Amino acid sequence: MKLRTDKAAVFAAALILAAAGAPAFAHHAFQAEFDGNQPIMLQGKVTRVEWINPHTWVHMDVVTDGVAQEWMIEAGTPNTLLREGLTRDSLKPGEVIIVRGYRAKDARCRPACKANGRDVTFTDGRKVFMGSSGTGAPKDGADPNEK
Amino acid sequence: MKVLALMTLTGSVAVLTQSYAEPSSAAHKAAAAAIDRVGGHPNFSGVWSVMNTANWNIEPHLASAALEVRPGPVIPVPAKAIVALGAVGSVPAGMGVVEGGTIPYTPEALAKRDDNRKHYLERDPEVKCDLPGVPRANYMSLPFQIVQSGKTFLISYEYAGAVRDILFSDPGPAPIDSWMGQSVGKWDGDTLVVTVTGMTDGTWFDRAGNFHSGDMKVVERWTMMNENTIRYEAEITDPATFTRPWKMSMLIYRRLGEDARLQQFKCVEFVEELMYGDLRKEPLK
Amino acid sequence: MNANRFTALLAGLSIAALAAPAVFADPAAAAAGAYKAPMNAYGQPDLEGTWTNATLTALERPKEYGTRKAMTPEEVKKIEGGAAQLFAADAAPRDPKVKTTDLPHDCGLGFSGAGCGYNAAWIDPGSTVMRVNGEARTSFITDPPDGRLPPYKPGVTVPNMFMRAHYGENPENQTLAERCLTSFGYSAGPVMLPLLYNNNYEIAQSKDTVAIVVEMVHDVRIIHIGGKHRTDGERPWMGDSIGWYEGPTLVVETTNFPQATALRGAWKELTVTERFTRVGPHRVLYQFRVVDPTVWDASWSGEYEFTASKGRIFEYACHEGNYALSGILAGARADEATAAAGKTAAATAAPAAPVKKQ
Repeated sequence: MKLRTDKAAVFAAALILAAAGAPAFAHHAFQAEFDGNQPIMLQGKVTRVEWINPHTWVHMDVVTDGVAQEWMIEAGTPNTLLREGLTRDSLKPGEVIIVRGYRAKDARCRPACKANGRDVTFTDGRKVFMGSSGTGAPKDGADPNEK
Repeated sequence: MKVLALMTLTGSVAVLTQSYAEPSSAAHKAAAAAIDRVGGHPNFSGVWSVMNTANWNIEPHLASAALEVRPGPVIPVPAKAIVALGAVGSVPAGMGVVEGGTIPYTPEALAKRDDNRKHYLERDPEVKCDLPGVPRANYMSLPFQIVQSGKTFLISYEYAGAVRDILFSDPGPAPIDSWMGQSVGKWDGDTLVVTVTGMTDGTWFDRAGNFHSGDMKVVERWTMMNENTIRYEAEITDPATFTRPWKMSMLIYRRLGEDARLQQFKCVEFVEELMYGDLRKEPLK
Repeated sequence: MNANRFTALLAGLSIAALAAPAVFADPAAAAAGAYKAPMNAYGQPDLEGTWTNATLTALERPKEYGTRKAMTPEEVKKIEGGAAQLFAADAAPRDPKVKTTDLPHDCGLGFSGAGCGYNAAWIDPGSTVMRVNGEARTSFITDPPDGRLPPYKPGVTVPNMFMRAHYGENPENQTLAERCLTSFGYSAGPVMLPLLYNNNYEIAQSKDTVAIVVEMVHDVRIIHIGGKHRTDGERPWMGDSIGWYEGPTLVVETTNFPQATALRGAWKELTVTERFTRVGPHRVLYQFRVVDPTVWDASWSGEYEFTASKGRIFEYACHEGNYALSGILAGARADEATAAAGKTAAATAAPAAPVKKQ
């Protein structure tokens, strides 16, 4: 599935990124930390979630041939999703998730192997983290007489 | 001159002067009347700081050589990393701020507290410039500023730019934990009562290894004794760590004068060599 | 190189700018007398609350708009619709049959692979274009009339916002944001500018202080009402701000900027003037003027509206959880080791092969 192929979506992405000031920082940092040549797909049980900034980290155990390896998956800032009602119970230990992303360049696996979670879903494909369309800014323009 | 004597359970006596008077006295009423008010409540706006050594150790303590020591030929000596600081690295004495003098740890928690002291440099979150949490933020040596209006009570701390916004409508349990917690305030007469929950377990109470769990609840009471003095109390409830709730109390003083301005202490960059030095392209020898 | 294309998009190119005096739009006219801001307990215009400046409109106007300040309804629909599609696409369930090779290789503007970042759920750049008094705007900047920064003075070198020399070698070579010292972009400013997420601010007012809490990175701007600028030459983070009230408007003047947080290259003689005016129960008009005669011959000015934020300020602790900085440095060391060893990183990587074979 190719995302953002729609022209309007690409243009919107451009405008979003333009408004965003310096998202290139963020992108450059991703490319510094994670290896674009090592895409990875992981399935496993969540062991704990660090709902922290600058990035949320989802810890999961991935079992291969009976051996469990702890992975920590980097995601975004929880603050955005807190405004959408996210809580510490939104993703609980024991839930099974599938992560598609890129492996960290630092392969030392200390304290755990690391990857960046481009998308994180349940086993049925539903996205674990779903945003919204905004922070509640008025959509229809400002009404000077707004109550 | 009216003198108020306070007896603590250890038998020591704290003697305070006229301006800190019995609530029912005429002197107190006069002091209270001089306090500026906003929105129907005493106005705490201003820059404040403590004049105690609570951040070193909230329990009573004599001066000592260092925050972390190691065995010496005769008595313990400062840890290797601290020796070069000499007297600058030593710990001043204090009467403590814990009511009753001793924190009522469970036996396991007390063992952990003592172990924290053996590993001070590695474990005190202040060393890494982590946010200090509540109540510690209020009694660090650096001041804080309160900006209060009829509906807002904001506390901006100089240390690491910590900030707390007191919410006057309870949003329910904190959705996730945070370093400074979720503060919900309400007025009890002229005292602001703030309940702080949702703090991580990553903060300490001081530099003496005193710690808590992630389930800790803190109830603060902020009362202006006169226009330049706050009486601050904090009750700690954390059954995972302590055998019963316990309290600390202290005075906080208004900074006066032209230089009574909050400065900045963004210490994050000061700890980069400590935290990331070994990841440099060419680590220092 | 990717970053250069971005620089071109954002930093603005020289365009002949008309020499025009910088003028703030009159907020009273803008509000058309329909709304009277309440006063607070100190008799000051009440600006308190939690506000957001998240928006799809940028600081500088895309060239195709020319000198046009307002967007047409069709343009608005296209941009807002595009943004909505973006979010909907990322929220949609993933087809269980997709493989790692289906990860977006090109997410536009030259970014690919790991550089494409996360699912849009994690970002909140706004869903609407900026409206000032109901008018959909093509940019924040209104002066110069082309909505873009004026030309730089000859000889002024503007450091690349996105690339730093010796990136990855030392923590001090990383961006202030990666070090958790300030936000990405220019959230605290001043000028306060929105970025990819957490564009939230809280304003608190007392008699002699206005405090603006900037969610990222829990910075608090302290504005001394009725104060004087410091004359000791010190340059604190976010500069030195003084303020005063002019009728319904809070005026803030900031000087003494540090070089580390230069605004589009300006810091040394930079003066930023901001004006905050409540123009509705849920709106604050924010106007700014930027002057630095060592960098630009002309000033530049603009405006946008803050709207009431959904929810309160949440803590953005950053440093306390900054695995990313050690990850970036360790990544750079891994790259060096790989280059030195002459092997691919994949060949030297440690354990667990991915479980799900797809």
